[in-house]
Amino acid sequence: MKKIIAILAVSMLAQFAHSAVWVDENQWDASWENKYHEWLKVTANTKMFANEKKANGEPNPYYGIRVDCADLVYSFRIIFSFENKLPFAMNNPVGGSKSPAITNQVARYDKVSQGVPRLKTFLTWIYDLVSTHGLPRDTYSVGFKDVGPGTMIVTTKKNHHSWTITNISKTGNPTLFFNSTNARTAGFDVQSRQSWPNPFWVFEPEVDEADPTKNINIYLPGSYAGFRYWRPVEFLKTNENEVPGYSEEQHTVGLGKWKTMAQNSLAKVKENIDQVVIRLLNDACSDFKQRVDAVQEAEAYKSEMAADFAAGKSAAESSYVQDYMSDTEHPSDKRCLTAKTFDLLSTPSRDKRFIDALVLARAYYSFGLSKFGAKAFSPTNTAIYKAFFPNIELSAGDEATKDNGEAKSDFCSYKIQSVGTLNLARYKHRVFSGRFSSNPNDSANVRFGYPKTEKDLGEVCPAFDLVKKSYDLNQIEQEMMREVSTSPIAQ
Amino acid sequence: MKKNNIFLLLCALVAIIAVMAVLLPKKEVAVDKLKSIQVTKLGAISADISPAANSKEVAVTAVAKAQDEFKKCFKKESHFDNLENLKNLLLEQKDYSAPILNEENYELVTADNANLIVQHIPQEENKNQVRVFSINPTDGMPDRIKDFPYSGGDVSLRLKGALTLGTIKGKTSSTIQNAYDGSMLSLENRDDKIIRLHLITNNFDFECKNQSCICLTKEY
Repeated sequence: MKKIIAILAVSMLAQFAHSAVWVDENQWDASWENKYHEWLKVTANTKMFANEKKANGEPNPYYGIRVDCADLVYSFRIIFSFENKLPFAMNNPVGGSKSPAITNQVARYDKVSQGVPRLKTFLTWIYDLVSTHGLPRDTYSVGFKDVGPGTMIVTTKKNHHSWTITNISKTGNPTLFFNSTNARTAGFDVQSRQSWPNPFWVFEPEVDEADPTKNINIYLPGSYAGFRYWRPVEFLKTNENEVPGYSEEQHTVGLGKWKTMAQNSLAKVKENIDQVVIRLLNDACSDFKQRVDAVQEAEAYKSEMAADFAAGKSAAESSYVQDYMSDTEHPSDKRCLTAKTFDLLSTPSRDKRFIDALVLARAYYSFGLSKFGAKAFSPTNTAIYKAFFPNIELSAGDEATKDNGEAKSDFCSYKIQSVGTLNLARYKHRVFSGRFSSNPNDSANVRFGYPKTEKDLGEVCPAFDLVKKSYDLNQIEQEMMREVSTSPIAQ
Repeated sequence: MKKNNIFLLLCALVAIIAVMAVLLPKKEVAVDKLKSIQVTKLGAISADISPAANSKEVAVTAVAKAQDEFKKCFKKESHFDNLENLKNLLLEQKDYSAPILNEENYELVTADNANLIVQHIPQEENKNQVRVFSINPTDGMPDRIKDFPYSGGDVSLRLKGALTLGTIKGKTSSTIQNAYDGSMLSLENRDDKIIRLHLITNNFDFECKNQSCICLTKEY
């Protein structure tokens, strides 16, 4: 009898203990929020899901987690909550305002081993639910002074992107963590950059799909885009403006001042012009690396799709064949990508941002030379800048025509599979002269400005709504010069 | 004897824990309760007039309070008595753009009586523009279904394909409209009936839902 009661007792205890993904032992408060910020500063790194082992040699429990940008935002909060037995709650993205929140108390994973295996199963479920679109319901808009580790930046739906700030430098610049959808061949790495994003991109008006000539201004008080922080669980269902700390400051200063206000509010020391230019080139280097990964993702997709078609695989045997066949309007040439895959693997927005970033670096360099003189830049960095911008006395557009592309610089080189090693300065020359392609049906060669190969299908396959653009570098330069003129360095 | 006492104590402890597990309110309930928080400190009227309220007197009071809130924001009288009236009133005051669809959710029931949600978010990234979820009968939570008819096609085809999975039983949607002065009007609809109206301007937030309206003026 005693044995039966003991078994019953143990099983009841087990039932209770296993009902949640993890059991809450602590509650969020200012102290835990500060610990979360410290954790992000110390723990977040681009290899946190990519290294099999931690620095101390122990196995990395989070190895192999694959995330896109919104997934990563939630991952940080969930993993910290899990490690510290804090509650996690988010709105049900399809449940409406009266639906119960989704929390770590869900009992559906009872049968998965407790601890990290159960956490990972929970994360996989969450990744299927969350998106950049849903993030504003779980967060609220904060003022500049409250921006710091843990704050996220959300763009309008036009660009559907999000970043998590993991640190703020003494000069008031962020470390932003994010990931792109095209991360399959890039392993489990996540990405980071050290500069504020362009506010005109963050708040870019939405477009009416039924009439692309119409757009909706999203930069206004109460906007869902911009700086945001996690809602306390008790404010998950309230109006955003009822959350303590809610602020519309960032939506009222004007887009031209948004970045400067952020940096000025958070800086402890002033950044010098040399630091600005090299930071922007480092960011361009990260963008370049991500583009290499994105192009390789497209190459892998096309090659695996071709192999499956050649092997005569059916839709049931191959996800590539299934994707192709499930589009009733798929291209007739089986080497071509379907509309959905094309959209996923093309890079027009990324390429435009890359050009903007390089022109901005050039604008700062040019401004620095005229305002502070050549002595403001270290000899090492000057050598880099001269390789990138050999005709800084000219406009960006004129430099593109004069530059012969023979830049010798070992700053930021990457190996592109089946193409060769390309350095950023040389790639910048190609991009400035329009020699690159955002079309994933093109070969890796053409995507990076090398001569065409027999694999190029850009002119054979449908390009849907991708239009080959010629960028007006001088116009972009004028926009960037305006940004420089309102930046902290100009004040 | 001592061992027996310890054993009994353990049993009692387990029983207490079990009872607590059953009796303690779940997190969801706690969060749900917050919806009825009074927002008087924000200068608002009572926020929790249930839509199910069947007393005529209560309904009249709610309309009067909503009109008061309107006056607070717009500095003038109005005589709307439902959200459709109010929307038309606002649209007459300013030149707004045509409504742009923000999100729509179709509630489907399949042939074998399972509940599905088809979510359409026109401007999301491609992979999330049309999402299909089954609703887990045990916990009521969604599970994403990635393979559905035409799931590899373009957005309109995917939406059509997803909607073939069952019979539509209901639909919620939200739209946004801009005015020339930067004001934004958001509407939430259930089965084409407005259930929430939110107007954001540079000077105030005016929101109506659950038969009550709140005016929040802004100071910068």
